[in-house]
Amino acid sequence: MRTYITQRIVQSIVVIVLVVVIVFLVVHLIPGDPVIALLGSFETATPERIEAVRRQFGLDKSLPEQFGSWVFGLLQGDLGISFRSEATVNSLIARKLPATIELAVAALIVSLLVAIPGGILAAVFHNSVIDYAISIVVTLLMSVPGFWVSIVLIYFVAVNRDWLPPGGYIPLLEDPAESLKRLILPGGTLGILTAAPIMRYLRSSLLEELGLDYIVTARSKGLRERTVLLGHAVRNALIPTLTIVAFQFGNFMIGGVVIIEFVFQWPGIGGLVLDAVFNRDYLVLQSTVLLVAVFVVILNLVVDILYAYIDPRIKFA
Amino acid sequence: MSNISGEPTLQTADPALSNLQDEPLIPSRPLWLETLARIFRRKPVLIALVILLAIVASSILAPQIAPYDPLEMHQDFPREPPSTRFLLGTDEIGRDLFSRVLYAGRPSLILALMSVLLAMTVGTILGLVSGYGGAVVDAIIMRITDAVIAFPWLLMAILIVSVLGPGPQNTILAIAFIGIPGVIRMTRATVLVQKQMEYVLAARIVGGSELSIALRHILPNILPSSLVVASLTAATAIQTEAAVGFLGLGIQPPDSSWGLLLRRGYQFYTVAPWYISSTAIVVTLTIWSLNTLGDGLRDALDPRLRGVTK
Repeated sequence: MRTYITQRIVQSIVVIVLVVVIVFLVVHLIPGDPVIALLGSFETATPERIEAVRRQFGLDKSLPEQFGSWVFGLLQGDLGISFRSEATVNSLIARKLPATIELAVAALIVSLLVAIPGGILAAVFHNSVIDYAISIVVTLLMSVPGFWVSIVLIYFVAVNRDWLPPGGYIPLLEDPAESLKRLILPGGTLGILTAAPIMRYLRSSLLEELGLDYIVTARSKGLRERTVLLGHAVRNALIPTLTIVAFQFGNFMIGGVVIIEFVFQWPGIGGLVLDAVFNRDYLVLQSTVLLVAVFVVILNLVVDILYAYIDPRIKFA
Repeated sequence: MSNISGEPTLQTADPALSNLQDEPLIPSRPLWLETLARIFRRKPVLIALVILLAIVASSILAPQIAPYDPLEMHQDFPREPPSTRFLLGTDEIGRDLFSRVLYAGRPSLILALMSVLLAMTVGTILGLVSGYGGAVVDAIIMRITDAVIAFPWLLMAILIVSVLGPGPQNTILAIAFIGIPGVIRMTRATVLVQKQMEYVLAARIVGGSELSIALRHILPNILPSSLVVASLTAATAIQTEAAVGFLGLGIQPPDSSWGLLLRRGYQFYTVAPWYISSTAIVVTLTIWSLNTLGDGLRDALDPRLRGVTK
């Protein structure tokens, strides 16, 4: 067990280092001069001014030097300074993060509330109308563009009727009722979309468990079917599903946040990334993307370690 | 996915057992026909193939099928809802949306095809090298793959497209880059399995070199899994083009694509909801067909791949 965990931690550290290098390299291959993009909007891009700004942000240094000072800052928890607003990236992220966390947590709750009962139903009634209906919905959800689902919902629920606000964010602590009302559409949409693969995985994982000998034993002991199902099969099926949930949460939910936040005008990390892309705001872009990727790596590491604790078989795999 | 054919199946817990009941032990038809029959025995897979062929064919035949020139403006009919005259309605300056969707399918589908080809080529080579090249090379390739997978795919696509600038070639590169890790993992997994097979040992005993074993024996055995990964990657490709185009980072006007139509449609969704929806439905159907075909192929050709590819 200990060697497995050490191995996974070392692996994750290597991956994080690679992630840092990849982000830096990709971002610094951007064609176009961020300083001209920045000054161009003020129509004051004299050569002296460009030079001054370049020196101010360390862009006159060589790539390895820029990389070095970025990594040096990272190690001290300093993500750099935005070219555009001259605010620190730390403060920008800190300002945008709460909205994204609220959205992601809401989506996670919705997706589990949908996926777990859905997956259990599909497995228990497998090869029945319920199973087919669920599988059709799941495959459609996995294929449909998320932004279109959002727009359709906004159209029917918020534009056509006045049932819910079409978006906009209010911090939870400021006005809990209004905040939750505004969270329903974006959180629900993102949650339902990410529920589909989880549901599908839980279904096949549960079907596999239900075919194993210990289920026969449990049944022949005379346990009620509900106990067999919820107490034994589902419990075991949920363990491998946890990895999929983590992957979904890290990869699709955080990635999907960019689109969902755009459509629902949600002032979160997704918007920060898009603004940084359009403004060529190097440091904001590279630090935000880096933070997301590192989060994904750590999340997967934590889940793998948890998994090894819950299911000791994993360390032999 | 389970079969939706409505055939009565015995409720056996072990899926291997229920397979035995469906299939005669000695197939009466040639193997390739048997395999085809097995793939399309499931109705959704057959439906998916028909839909996909219809969409691809109508894009190729757009000049013949489209009722109007996609650029022709019917100035008296801006933002017309769908009708018998304009099947999917018209856009903000009265252009026929049905014709526009057909024509926009061409760049989108070509983009998907090119990026899949690129991802498959690069991914298969790297996967072969990784599975065959010894522990150090394997570890290097796999850790880089892990690092790329750590980026949410849409974020990675946005990052690459913004690095390279918008446009078709760069969108292809971005989409291919996202697809490569999946192909590497699949190829490597298959190589590791095949390497242990007895036919490889036999080839080695007869004196085959490692390179010829890899290319002549192992590579052909990767083909079934490659088909699966290719169709799933194509689905992601269409999805990515749509998302990137929607955000305005993909193909730029005056060129057209599904992603771009979705972006234009979004600007008018409150007054002309059919504008974005007509394109979105075609995009959804395309992605659904590719996903369903991929799943069907996987189940028929290599059930072990479940979990490796997605």
